[in-house]
Amino acid sequence: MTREEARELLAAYALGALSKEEREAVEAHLQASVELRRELAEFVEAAAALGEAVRRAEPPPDLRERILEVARQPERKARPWGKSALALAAALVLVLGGLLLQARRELQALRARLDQQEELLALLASPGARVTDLEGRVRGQVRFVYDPARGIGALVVHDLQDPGAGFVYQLWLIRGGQADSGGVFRPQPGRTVVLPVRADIGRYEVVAVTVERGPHGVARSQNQPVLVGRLRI
Amino acid sequence: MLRIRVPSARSDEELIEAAAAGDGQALSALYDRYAAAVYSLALRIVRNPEAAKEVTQEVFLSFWRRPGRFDRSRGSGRAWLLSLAHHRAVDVLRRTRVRQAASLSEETAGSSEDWTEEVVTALESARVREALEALPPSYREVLVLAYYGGLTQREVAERLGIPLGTVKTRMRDGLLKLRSLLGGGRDT
Repeated sequence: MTREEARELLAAYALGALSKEEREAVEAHLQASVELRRELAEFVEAAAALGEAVRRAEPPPDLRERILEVARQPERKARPWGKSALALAAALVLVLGGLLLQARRELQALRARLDQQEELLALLASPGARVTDLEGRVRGQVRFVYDPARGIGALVVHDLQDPGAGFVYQLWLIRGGQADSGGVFRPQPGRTVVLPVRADIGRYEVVAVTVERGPHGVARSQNQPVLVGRLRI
Repeated sequence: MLRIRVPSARSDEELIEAAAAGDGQALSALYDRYAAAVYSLALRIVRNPEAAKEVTQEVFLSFWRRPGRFDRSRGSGRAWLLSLAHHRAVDVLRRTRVRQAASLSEETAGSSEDWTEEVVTALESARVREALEALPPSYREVLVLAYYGGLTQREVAERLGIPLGTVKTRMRDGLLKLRSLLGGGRDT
């Protein structure tokens, strides 16, 4: 599943209308993309209104104590050397199950990254593709690849210095006096970070990067860009 | 918009994060705030008090001592809890359906339209009822079959005899319309 396919399934995800496999695949993309998570939030709020609209029923009075009682029990995994071999086996199964789940999540996150890279490759291979290097006052290798005709682009970031704890970089698409956010990212040492952008890129003149407070960045930046690149249409 | 809160009243999001970190008081405060909503939704979906009880328990224990399950970029804590409840309830419903080899058709023996109307009429919130009634019928049907009927998008497409792509579009546009009809949701 590509990121774009996952995006198309966000409403169905919020409505609980996906199969288990589809839901997990979307979940992997959600974990990889704050942009998708924010888009989902809107659908989830609307679905929550449906959830709250149902006829009210009071839960059985003993349920509260039952849940709190289970919660009070010491964590099993904190004492894996329990009373018997059986307890140990049970603990092992728990740990293995956890590891498998973890491995599966990692695999899905990897797939999501692979999809992203495939999209980037497709973008680079398209005949209308252009590249602009962003330059400015921070050290790093940052280029914006885009295809104005298809309205897709990607910021490709390598070896960019850390923006500092609690801060993120934010991409802006600028025309006239107006700047529209293209998303936020944090560089990863030794790894290339790709920030996909979908916008009517032909309308913009400049791409710029600012440093903003994390994790979500801002709607409107007051800061001077640290990196700037000019778009050629 | 500025909201003044009593200092001890922590926000839903703070309570979820605290419970995930193992704060028992936060868990019981969340229970007191949302158990009725979670239980009512579960009951509407699974139609069985014992199963609804199980779902409620699973929901409240699913993030207990598990930091990282909730993330504020996914929206409000309240909406997140309700979506957990809905997902679990739908899972239970689908398992039972498979076991009984029965399908929604039992409950929706008549037409989807009639069933949709019945569900909407039975809603307690007049605000949501009116918003649903203000939607084009074809959108309303898709939302109601999926959300309250527990059908997957594929099942909705099959049942209504329309292409899957149309179902996806109606879900998306329907939810967005619903949200704007409800006044864009909450104040921040």
